[in-house]
Amino acid sequence: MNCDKMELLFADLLYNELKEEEKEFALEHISTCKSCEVKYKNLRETSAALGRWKEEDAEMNLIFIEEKVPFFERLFGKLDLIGISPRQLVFGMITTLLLVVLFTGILRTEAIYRNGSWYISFGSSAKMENQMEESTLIADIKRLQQENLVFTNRLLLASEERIRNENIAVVNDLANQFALLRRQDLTLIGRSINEMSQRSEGRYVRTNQLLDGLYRLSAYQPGGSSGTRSIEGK
Amino acid sequence: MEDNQLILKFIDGDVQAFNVLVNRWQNRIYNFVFKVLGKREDAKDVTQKTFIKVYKNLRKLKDKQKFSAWIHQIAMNLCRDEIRKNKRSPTISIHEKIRTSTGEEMELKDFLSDGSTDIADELFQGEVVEIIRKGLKMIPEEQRIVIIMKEYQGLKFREISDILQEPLNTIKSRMYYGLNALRKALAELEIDKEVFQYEL
Ligand SMILES: [Zn+2]
Repeated sequence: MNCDKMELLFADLLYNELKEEEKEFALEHISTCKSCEVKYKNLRETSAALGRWKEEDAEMNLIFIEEKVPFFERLFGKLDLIGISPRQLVFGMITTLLLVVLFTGILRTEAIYRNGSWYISFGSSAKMENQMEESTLIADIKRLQQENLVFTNRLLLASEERIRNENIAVVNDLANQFALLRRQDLTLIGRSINEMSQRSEGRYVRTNQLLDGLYRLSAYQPGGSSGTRSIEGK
Repeated sequence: MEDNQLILKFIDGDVQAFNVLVNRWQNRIYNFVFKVLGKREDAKDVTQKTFIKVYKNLRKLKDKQKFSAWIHQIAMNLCRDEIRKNKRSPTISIHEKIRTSTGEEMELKDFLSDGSTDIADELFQGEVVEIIRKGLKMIPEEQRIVIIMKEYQGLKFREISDILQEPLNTIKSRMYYGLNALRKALAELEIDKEVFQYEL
């Protein structure tokens, strides 16, 4: 009868999870029952044998990092580090674009003397095509950049678990490169604008010289008060 | 600092507190998973997954005092997924090849019954691990898991019962029958005396 009761007590006894009175009962029974004594000894031996499998070092060092900041905030955070605020960036890009359009417009303005009259034209059709090509190219680049950002963002969101940290590092790197490229772009655009404005100035000087020569040839006497020049032929 | 304090700090937004918790538990969970799965690479993988799950769900843990049982439960479930995925055979044969400390491959049975030298002296830690690992694999999975949780992880029977969602007495009897089955398995491997008499 007591031996049946022991079946449930062995596990507790072995790992010392028995209440004091149960423990007394169990030990008392084992000391008087040969069969249970052997059973208990076998259990202890098996448990001791298991104990020879020691813990080993996992050789891993998991680190979790804060990742609540949305992708674009983090990207702009990086830009902020090099002194460009998101607003500045967007404003800078829009201004540059407007300036480019404006200056190309001016560059394409031509004054032509044909059939005894002066014509002012804004760019030739060939040049317009060129401009179209340029703007689609810029649009393409912008679209690709946008796609890159979206893709990176999606990758970051989709990447779970172990590659997440790696991806964050890659994204940070990308953000840095992006900022660097942006700055290089802006510098290049600025330089181009300078060059363009210098060229257009040269053009204007030349046009004025031509006009002056023309006036002299046609013996035109400028009016005293207005000082404006007619561009009508003789 | 206690685990539950670290958990509260983490819930407050302190990721560093979570890293302390990870650092404190990763070896323990890794060793648990390693013993259940028997492969180090798988164990690392599952350990990592365990902590990612913990990271995502720690806020939902109602009783912070039950963290130990809870993290074991997560690891346990991931182990089961892994076992199901790999469809590993739950038992092994004594004809299975093992690698001895000298690097040569031989059948487990031959290695164990080589009577020319005193086997107890030859049992280096790596081989002891190999034998116990194989012994554990020879008994039913449900018993093996209870044994690992109790013997190596030091969980209370009450906690194991919570984790496995089984009655307390079921757990205790699995422990009892599991140990007996393991003893038989080790005897079948003909090494009971050598392993058992060591450091007893
Ligand atoms: Zn008895």
